[in-house]
Amino acid sequence: MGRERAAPLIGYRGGVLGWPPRGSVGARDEDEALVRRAQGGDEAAFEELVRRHEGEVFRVCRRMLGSREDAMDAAQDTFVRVYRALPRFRGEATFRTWVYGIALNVCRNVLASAPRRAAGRAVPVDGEAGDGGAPVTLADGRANPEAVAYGRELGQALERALATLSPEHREVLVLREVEGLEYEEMAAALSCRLGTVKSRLARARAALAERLAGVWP
Amino acid sequence: MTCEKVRGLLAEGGGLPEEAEAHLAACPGCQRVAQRWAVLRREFAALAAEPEPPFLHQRIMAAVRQAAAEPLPWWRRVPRAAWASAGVAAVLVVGVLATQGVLRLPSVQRGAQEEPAPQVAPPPKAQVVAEHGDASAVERPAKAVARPAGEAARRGLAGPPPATAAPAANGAVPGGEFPARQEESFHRPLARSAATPAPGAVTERMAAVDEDDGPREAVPALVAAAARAAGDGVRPAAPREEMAAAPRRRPPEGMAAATSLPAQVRVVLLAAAGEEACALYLPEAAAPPQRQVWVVVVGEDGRLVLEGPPEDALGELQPVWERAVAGVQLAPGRYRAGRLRP
Repeated sequence: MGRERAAPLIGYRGGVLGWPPRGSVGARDEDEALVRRAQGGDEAAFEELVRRHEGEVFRVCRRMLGSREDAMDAAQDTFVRVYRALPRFRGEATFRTWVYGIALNVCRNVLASAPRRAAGRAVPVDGEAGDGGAPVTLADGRANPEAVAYGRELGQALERALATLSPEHREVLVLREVEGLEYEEMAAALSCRLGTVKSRLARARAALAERLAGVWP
Repeated sequence: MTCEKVRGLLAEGGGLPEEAEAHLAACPGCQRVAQRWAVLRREFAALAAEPEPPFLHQRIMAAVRQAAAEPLPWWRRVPRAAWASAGVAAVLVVGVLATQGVLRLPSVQRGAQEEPAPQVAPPPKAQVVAEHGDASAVERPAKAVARPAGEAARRGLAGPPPATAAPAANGAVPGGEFPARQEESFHRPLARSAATPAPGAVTERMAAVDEDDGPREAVPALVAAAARAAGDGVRPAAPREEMAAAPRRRPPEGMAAATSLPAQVRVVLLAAAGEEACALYLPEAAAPPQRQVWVVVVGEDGRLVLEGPPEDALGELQPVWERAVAGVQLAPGRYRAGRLRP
């Protein structure tokens, strides 16, 4: 079944404001060209690759680790690893999914090395959008204050629920629902089979729905 | 089409086939589920719109440029295939040796424990030291040897600081090769060893030292580590030895940033008349900050009161200081505590 995702209106890079769209064929071709130049020692090309993917890497790390500061560290670490591993990148997967895979590995290491700290920081405090981060903006721009308040509540509940999921469930939900990856891309980023991705995603959605039972409309 | 199937499709996202649309139009339960997923997807999209922090790009590129400037460690320069080959070769060699009876694997040894084996006592530490010619080579595995500064300087032992003080402090050396009784001769309770003042230290002015002894973010961790070390009467030996050997030598630039061990700071307690009462070695987080002097009041009942640290840190600092001071046999009175200026 074809998947038609409606691009959000606010700042969704690659959806409306960015072009070409993230993950599109045009973007992939551009990535490939940049990768070839970067592998040849072109620093400007590598910097352009960073510029194109740093936002999504940051967002994945942010959702996985909970804190913006940890996410910045993880994003930085991710691109250092990407830089070091770039000569070995043969293009079996797209550059984007390869980078996602590295970012998720970095996040797993962080979570494994400091589970209590990461778990503690992954849960945002009520009334706080992350740790000093930008407030979560509603995508539909509802003007009704009650609706906006409910949206904020639901947004925060969603963040909390995500933070309490297992890292495995969190990463599939983030890749699919936040970053909009296709199943094949997710399988490449997670280094697992398509069937595994689908079953894990179904379990993750069920777990998320269970945690949101109290705030559903 | 069943509700279960339709809800599965709704969870998947995307368009619905006509059959599912028809079911949805007639089923209030599925309509509610559809509404929930629509709301949730809006919130997911809002998460995707979270802007990245300013300077993220600059920060990443600075780290990448730094990584590019640093040479890779030798083990990263060796191709992975070479490591794999070496690993396979090592496994083969060990396997061959094991099958030939040259090596006795632990499982074999455990199985053979029923047979009476000749009892070989571990050699005394002094003998081991003499054989190796370098005591630090013997003591490093124990990872918790505290020695008076004078003795360390006399022996010229100032090896790199051990990573942790816990195992040997409890006498629980992995493998049990060094009984706790033998280790005790090298152990000194923190306070007792710290009570030995360095020659000429009385004349030094109590003030701030300029060097930064280490990062300050991990204050609770450092305080906890200090509490553990002080509670066991043991603390890592090498920092104290290094400081005793060259207490006034400023470390080279960048060294403080490079070290990852909790830095030990020499804190001197001055009595009211200005004479040095004792010196303590405390983690950076438990010592008075540079250019600050705290007051330590020791009561008749041995109770210790700290004046000067922030109120919220007192709870954590108090036990560390109490344990550190406990073995010094400090007379009741009021002391000024601070670092020494080189």
